Amino acid sequence: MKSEVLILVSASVAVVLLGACIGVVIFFRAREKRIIRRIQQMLDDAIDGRFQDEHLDETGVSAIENTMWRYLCDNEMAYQKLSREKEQIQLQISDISHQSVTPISNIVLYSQLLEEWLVLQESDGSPEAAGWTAAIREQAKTLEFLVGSLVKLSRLETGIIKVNMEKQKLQPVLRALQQQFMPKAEQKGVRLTVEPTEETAVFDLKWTIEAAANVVDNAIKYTPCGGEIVVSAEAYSFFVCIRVADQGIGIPEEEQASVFSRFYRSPGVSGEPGLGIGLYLAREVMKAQNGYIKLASREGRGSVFSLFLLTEEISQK
Amino acid sequence: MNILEVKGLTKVYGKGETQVRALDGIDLTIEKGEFAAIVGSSGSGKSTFLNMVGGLDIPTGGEVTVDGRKLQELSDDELTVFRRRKIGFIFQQYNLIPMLNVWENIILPLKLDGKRVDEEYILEITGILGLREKQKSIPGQLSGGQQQRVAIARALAAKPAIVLADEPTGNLDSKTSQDVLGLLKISSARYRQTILMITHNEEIAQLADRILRIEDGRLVKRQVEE
Repeated sequence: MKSEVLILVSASVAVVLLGACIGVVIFFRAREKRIIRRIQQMLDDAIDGRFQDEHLDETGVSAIENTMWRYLCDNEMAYQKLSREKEQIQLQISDISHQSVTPISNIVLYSQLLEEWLVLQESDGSPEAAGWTAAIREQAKTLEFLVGSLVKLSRLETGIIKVNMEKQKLQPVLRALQQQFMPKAEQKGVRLTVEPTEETAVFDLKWTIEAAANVVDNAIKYTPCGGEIVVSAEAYSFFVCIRVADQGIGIPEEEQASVFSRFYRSPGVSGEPGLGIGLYLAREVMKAQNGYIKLASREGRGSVFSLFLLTEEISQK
Repeated sequence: MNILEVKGLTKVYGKGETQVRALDGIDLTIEKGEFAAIVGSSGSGKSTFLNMVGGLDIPTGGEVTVDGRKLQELSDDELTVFRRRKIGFIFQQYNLIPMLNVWENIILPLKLDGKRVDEEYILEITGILGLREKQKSIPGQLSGGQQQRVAIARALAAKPAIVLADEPTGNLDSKTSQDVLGLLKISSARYRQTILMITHNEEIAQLADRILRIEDGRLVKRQVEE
């Protein structure tokens, strides 16, 4: 009789213990799951860069979450400090290059004045002096162009200039290119054909002209006398493309990807003036406008640069 | 940071006399945010290469490291999970699930992984890819270009370490191809998504930042940017 009671008691104790164990296990499993979910959320937010939007509720937080939170906070702080410093440096660079624009344009101006004065004095002046001033003016112009490109570039990179996207007609871009480059093309004996278009796209007028101008400028530079450059537009369903096709020297296959990198100069054309900024700037401008630039080229046959712009704004929600 | 590192990758089919070296010692690294294209004629070994990188086939020699993990060291189960999380695939045949609608197709890899669906991000992707109006449609109601855009959205949804695209525009006409890949390009630039695409189409390859050429199982020319 006694042993039966004992068995009954011990059995019920066992059942209770087992129940308690299961309860404890379930409790901890649930807690673990909750912690993991919160950590996952924390990390997801950190990756998305909106980590500090939400604040950690200190109650009911495990040590590991706390440590992670601190680590992520420190990380975020360091990142913010870094980007602030970077911004400052770029601002200074932009400032310096901007400051140098004025003296250079003054040099250009004064050399022009000097040249005019020399022409007036022609009777007793030496022809050499005229050559020298012309050289000064030429060099100063090159310098002006280079510094100008650097200023634009640093502005674009600092994000001081925000592209102003607007759905508009493409024709003004083509017209601007025609006006800007007709004289230069004629001077070089290159035929520049700009085909009119009715297409519209979403872009920043000023910067798109800038990007396309860099491409057309290159095309003229590398197309020999008697060649032709065609600027046209073609519509796709999501994109409109501005195409600049030249009959220049072309770009060897192994260099085609490199021409868009900053300061890249093709070894084959090191004699031509340039800094290796134009195409880089064009690519950055296109990227900032949610577009892109593409190149197809055959060595000796010419190159086709295509600038793709979205036809519709990216719909938000 | 290198997302993909391939060292001395070889793949040999058959034995003895009939042996075929599909891949013959390929070395390649791809950095985060890069859009690289591998071009080659059919039979050059480019599809074999992509299958090795995606962990869909086992190499004879050499190693593949994706986001710091050597694929050869993973077990089959680990590899399955790894693929789902780290690798986004875009195939020529789209491979959408016909009875799920566009939205469900896109979030499927996330659901399989038990991950929270970042609706804001998915909405943004569908916006860029022009799929906002088609979210409730099923793949059968969509054109080829639209289906491939859904496949792109699906590949981007899980924010994988690398997106592998195998002849993504093989079934599309050249204009649609330009559109689809243009959208792939701008969305990958926006999210700094790394992409490795293989194609036989030179025109399509020109969208990439870097073009590699594969011939008889070897990389023959490299274009390195910056």
